[in-house]
Amino acid sequence: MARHNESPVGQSSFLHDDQLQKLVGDACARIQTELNCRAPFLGEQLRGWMAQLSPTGKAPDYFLQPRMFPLLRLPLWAARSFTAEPDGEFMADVIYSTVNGYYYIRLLDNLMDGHGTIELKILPATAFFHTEFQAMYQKYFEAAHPFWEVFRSAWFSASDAVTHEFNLDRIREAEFERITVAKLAGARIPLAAVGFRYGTGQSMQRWENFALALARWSQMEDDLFDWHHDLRNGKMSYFLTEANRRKGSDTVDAWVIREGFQQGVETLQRELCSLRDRARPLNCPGVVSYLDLRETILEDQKTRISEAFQVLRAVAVVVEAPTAQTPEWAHSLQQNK
Amino acid sequence: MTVQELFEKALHNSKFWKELSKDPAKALQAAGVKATADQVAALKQLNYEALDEVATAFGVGGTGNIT
Repeated sequence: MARHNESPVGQSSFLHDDQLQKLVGDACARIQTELNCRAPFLGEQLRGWMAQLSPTGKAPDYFLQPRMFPLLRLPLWAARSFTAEPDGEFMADVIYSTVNGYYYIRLLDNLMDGHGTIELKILPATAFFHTEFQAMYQKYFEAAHPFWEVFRSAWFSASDAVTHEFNLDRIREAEFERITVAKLAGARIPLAAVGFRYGTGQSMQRWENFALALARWSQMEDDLFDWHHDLRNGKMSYFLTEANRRKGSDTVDAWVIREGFQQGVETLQRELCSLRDRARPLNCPGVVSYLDLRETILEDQKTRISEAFQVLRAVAVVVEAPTAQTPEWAHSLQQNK
Repeated sequence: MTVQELFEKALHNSKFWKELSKDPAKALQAAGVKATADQVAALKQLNYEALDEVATAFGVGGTGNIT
């Protein structure tokens, strides 16, 4: 299901990256070319699905949204930190592989979450996406290369985590750290490819650690902003588990509006500071710009949503107790007039 | 009417908020709520346009698969 709302679209210009834009555009076009040649009927179906995911109807724009986890930006940022001029063909293959890997996950995830539209009808496309995701690396790493151990470890642990989380009826902190965050372990794969090609062990490890910390942060953000959708669709998350634990006699909605959203944003802001600490040794201007933008977007949303929730709380006081005395907030509003 | 119902209205029912901002007493009466004059006066001062952000942020599934 296409679910998008990028309110600060204008801010995406801060993250504009000509090379990335070209690589992603080429990767999406390459998928279509391959499919047209090898599986034309499936290709036609997939063209619509890939367009439908994107807020603009253009497949590459899906991956360039500023609030999206920077799955494609990370390997490019890492490569630029290792070498002044990354090998163009290699980076094109890494991005092509990662786009295919992402579509593979998105297709299965939409089905598992119940967001599917045409996903069941195009399920055989997983064969194409997975083959293209994996096959690109066979050009660069022979069968006995240590890259493949990273590939297996990350890919299987992500698959395990997705299945495990799907079967949980609550997600406490321990499960969030051990299972939910591990769902994004696949992000290690393109980074490891770049690391083995250009980097040293130490710098590669720093990038992998940063990617996992960023994945953790992105998952927390996802949980916070998806709380209502998750609640209505019976999908459990760490945020909803905490909401149920802390709400007392309130409903989850009332708790989120009263304090839960505010607390969630404050946690994200604190964690963003810690991400900055992890980013410092990477010496990567792209990462710094990305974190700056995320901080700006978050602060903007905090302000706007807090104001909206203040209105909801004020109206709730009246509609929940219509015969009560004029509430305190009304007096203060009148005084401030 | 509960907070939960108000939240749902912020997501899906812009008509309710338009009417509430225009004539709070009438809108509340239509929803089965009788408010005092002071409450109606206070409701007139709220910035209902702020509620647009609720639908933007949470209306179609929050982040939209950012991960």
